[in-house]
Amino acid sequence: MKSYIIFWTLVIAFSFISFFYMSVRMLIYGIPELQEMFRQLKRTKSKRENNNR
Amino acid sequence: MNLSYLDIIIIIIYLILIFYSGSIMKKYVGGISDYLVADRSMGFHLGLLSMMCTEIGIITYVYYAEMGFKAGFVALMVAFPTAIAFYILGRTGFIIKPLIEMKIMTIPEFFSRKFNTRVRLYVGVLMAIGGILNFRVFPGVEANFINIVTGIPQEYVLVTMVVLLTVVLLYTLMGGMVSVILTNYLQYALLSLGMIFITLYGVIKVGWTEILNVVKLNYGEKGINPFFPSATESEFGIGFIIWQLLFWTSILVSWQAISMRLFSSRDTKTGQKIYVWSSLLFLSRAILPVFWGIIALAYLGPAIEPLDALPRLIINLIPKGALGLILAALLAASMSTYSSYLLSWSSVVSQDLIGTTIHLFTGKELSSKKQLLVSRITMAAVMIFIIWWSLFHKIEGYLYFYLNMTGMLFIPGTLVCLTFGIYWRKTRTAGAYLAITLGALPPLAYLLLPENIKTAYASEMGWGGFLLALIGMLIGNFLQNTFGTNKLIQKV
Repeated sequence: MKSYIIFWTLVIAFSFISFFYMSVRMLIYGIPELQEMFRQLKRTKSKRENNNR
Repeated sequence: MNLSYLDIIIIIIYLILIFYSGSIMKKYVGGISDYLVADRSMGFHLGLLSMMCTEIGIITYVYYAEMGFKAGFVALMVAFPTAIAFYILGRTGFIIKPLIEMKIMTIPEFFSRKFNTRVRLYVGVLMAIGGILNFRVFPGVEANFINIVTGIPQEYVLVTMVVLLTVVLLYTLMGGMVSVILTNYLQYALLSLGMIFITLYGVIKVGWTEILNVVKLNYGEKGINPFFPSATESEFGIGFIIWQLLFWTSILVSWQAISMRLFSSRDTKTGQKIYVWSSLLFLSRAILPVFWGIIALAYLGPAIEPLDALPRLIINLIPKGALGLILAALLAASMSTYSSYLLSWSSVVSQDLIGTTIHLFTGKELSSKKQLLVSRITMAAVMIFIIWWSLFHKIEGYLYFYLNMTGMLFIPGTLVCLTFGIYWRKTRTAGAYLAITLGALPPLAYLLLPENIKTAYASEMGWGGFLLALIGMLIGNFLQNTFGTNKLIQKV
């Protein structure tokens, strides 16, 4: 039972730390990706409008 | 009312911000592919973040906390099959790589390419039923949660949910996937803050030793050793792991809300990378809320209703000033799920049911603009239907198992058809029909059987669905290959 307790302790600690790290990372690197996504959507929309004309 | 003026102001500011940012995205949407898959422009970090937002709602916290509260540390086992399935699919590209390369927008679309339009319609019907049955419990469970946390009287809670869903509906109607991704970003910032705060504050306030002692006291070894009394007899033992591995493998390739993230990603490499890293995040997605359930057991005692464990923990544990922020974080989690699920299930109804039926009768495809209009109308209809239906829901057994089994109506058949359809040239339509039909039988039985039977045989009905789907595929293929025409399905 003791080994399971150690295991669960490590699992919870690991999950918490990795969640924290990944969340910060996603929020930082997400901003330039959002900008790039809007640029692509704008390009596609104007291309589509030009084709329709 | 448990909220202070400061809490209410924080929530109102959050709602206005989300509505405004979501609704201005309409200007970026020009066609159906912008609307449903954001013109396949989503990068790696946005994909990860959006995937997490979609699959985390108040209901996710509630059912995981329920498991932790009822079973102790052994309930943490629920996190591993998800993480393993994500990692294997991401690393190998099994099924997901060919799906991204096909440039489809919904999973049933695959069925019309590999089999025929009628199979697509059949899967689409099961998918819509399973998805909406699954989604219908969200407003009721979450209304109960909000009722406990805020102290808003029960009769006004449903009105609160309708307001929230309407806000979500309006911005998702306008900007589709583009709105979903942008609002997901804002929602994730709050959601992650809330998750970190509850975990940290809970451990500090209750104490790790106390948490361990309470689990030992209430559940003994059964609450700590997942293979007690034996690996086969335990509720979270081998049977559970096999079922969950199969379930999550198929969820990750056939659950519309998840696969839409895959189809929205820039390229195959990005899609696969999102899956590999999601394994780590989805581990935390389950571990942290299960742990909250265990904290609730230690802090509040075992006498309360398990489904109320988390809201009662929050109201008792979180200090007044921080409650508004935590509630905004929880609402963010739910709204992001609502927007994605509304978009996903309405896309199945509009593209795979309405679009396919029109194609079957007229032989023509709808124009992109008409598809956009149909998608928007369908989304509003799905939302109204879900609010109406949530008034009558009653769950027996674990909420988590109910949610699994509603998805299981189409999941085993879909997984088997995808695997065979992609990797075996001789796969036949009869095999697809039989796999889908037989795979749906055990979950259907689960939904209809009384609670004592369904709880005792949940794992068997879970993996049984996959086994029957496989048998159905093999028999159907054999029959059509032996007695049917020799025409093989078209290879894409």
